[in-house]
Amino acid sequence: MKLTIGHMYPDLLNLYGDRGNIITLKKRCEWRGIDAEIKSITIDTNTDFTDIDILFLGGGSDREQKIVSDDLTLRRAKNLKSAIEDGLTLLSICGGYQLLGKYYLSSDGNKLPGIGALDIYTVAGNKRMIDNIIIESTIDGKTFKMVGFENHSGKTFLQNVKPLGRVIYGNGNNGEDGMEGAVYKNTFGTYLHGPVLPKNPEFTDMLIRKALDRKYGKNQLEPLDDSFEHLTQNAIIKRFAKK
Amino acid sequence: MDLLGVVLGKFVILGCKLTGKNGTSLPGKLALKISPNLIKDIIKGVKNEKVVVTGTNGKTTTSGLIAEILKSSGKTVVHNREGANMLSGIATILIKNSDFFGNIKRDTGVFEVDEANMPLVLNDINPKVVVVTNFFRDQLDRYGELDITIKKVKESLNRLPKDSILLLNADEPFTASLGDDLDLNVMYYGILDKLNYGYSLSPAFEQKYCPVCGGKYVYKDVFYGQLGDYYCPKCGKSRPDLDFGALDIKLTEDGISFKIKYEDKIINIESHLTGAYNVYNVMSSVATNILLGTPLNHIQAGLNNYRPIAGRLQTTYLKGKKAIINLIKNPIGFDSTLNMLREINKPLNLLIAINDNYADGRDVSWLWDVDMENFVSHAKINHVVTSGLRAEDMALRLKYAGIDPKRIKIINSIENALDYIPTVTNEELIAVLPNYTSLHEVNSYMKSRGVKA
Ligand SMILES: [Zn+2]
Repeated sequence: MKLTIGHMYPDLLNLYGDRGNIITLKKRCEWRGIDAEIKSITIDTNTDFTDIDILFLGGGSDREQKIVSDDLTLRRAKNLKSAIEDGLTLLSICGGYQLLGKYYLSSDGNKLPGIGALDIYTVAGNKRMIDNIIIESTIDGKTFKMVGFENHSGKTFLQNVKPLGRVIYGNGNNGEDGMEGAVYKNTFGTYLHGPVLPKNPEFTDMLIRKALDRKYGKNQLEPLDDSFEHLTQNAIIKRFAKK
Repeated sequence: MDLLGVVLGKFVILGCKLTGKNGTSLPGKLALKISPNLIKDIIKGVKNEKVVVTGTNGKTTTSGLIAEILKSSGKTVVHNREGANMLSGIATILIKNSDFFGNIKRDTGVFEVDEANMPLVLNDINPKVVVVTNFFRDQLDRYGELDITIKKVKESLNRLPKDSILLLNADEPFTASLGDDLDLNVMYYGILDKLNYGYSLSPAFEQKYCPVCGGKYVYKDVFYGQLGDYYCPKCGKSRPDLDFGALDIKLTEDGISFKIKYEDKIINIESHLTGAYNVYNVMSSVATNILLGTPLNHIQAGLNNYRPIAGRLQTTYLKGKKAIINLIKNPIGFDSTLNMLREINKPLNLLIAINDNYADGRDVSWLWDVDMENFVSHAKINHVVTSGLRAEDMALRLKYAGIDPKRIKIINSIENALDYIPTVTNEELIAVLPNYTSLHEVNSYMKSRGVKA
């Protein structure tokens, strides 16, 4: 078995440690004997996403975010949206999460369009939400905690779409409604850096399982020894979650 | 001169001493409140030319080397050796070195200055030579502050007297572009050798764009990070011609040796500092001294006399086992340290201590921007201890980089980790790599055990 992992704009969105997510997806496939190939998708790459099993879209600093935003909304919106509708497994984080939404309302009142795949919108905030974050999530009937680090000023509001989880510690989507992230079909959006996948193996394996299910109709994964993963996760929960 | 600030500063320094506090910036901070011109006033008393060193990485080592060489040539030097490089730290060191009347009896001054503080102090110091090492975006800077900082640095450089010398690292595109359209005496240093150790492009590599036409720079050679020999295929802009170029670089466990090409001369240089990145630090300190007229024999003597400050490539012993301690504070610094350990080419036991206190940056995601995979696949690593508040995160990073979890031990207490690592060490070299506040814990452990560098 083989999964192709698409890494969007690795040359532009490369400062948040989010490449750890790619490393983690690859390793957790390989440890189970599943081949994992990483494909870089950047400004001059042509793809309609049908060759991709798991797509990753991160965030970057303002300058890079602008370049990415133009490329995504002007050139790739149609293909990416139909891949999402078709059940592509996609993880988007922070700036990438915002870009999948309908628009970003900047502080000077400009509406910057996203690709509109997720029924969400984001409003520029005046306070940066920087902190550790703990959420509780229920996906496919499984409930688990996730930890990460958030760093955003945009406040995201969900409309006709489900959140990824409920905030136990931290701010989440907007610091107001206690929700974090969004889920639509097999597309996930979140503000969790950290990076998110290494220390949340339940979530990572869920992504791999969804991709395998779509490609091979297989949804069982061999268990791994996740003691370091859980130690890392529990250290944060112990320090920050209120008893 | 307004003496009130000096007198107050002196008393605060005394107070810090009596209470056992490390007063490297508080005295200057309070003194500046009542005497805002204090830096300018005191520095007028320094007899000869001053030097300022700024940049993201390497400024402590570079300024330390410059000061040591000047001392070896018989000069008295005021220098903020302890790394207090903000406005208040520079004021403090000047007060410390002067008498109650603000008279400073020093021949020269060498100041390490934080990039963001350059606009605040550069014109007060009025240096003859300004060295800029490199500009890296570290994890605290993700919102373009670096671009603004560089712009402000340039503005303050523009206000220096026209005969001032600006010595720039040509291999780092951001730094090199500081010299564009600047009406000063601009000179460049860089590496002439191919410095190709088969290092892959670091994940922390940041694509640089041509300031003239916006094209993507292409690299003929990458030395580390985004440092290398680059050019713009669109408009032809390239790395500036080197006034000082390093040749025949040799790296060993005991240090580095190389030649510097300057005008029609070839100068042989040796240093006991290890690591390819120290070629830049040594070269720029030598270049600065050549420009200040320091005789060559004093330059080599100064390099020999230089001792790194605690935690910067410091060699020591833990329970009789040889250990090297080096601060890691950002992905590029971490990468460089790992490359240095790789060059030493000996079996290693690692102790990596990561805290997430405010001064460290509370987000540790940057650990995943370090090219750990490359290091793990090339180095011989026997035991690893991870420590600090984020010991688990570090352990997890190493697991995914390919180290067998059975060889990784998590000990949150840095003290206990330092006690433990020599007990599993035979012939290996111990490398202790703490981040910022972890280094303080390592230093106080050393102090309490009476371990000397
Ligand atoms: Zn150009």
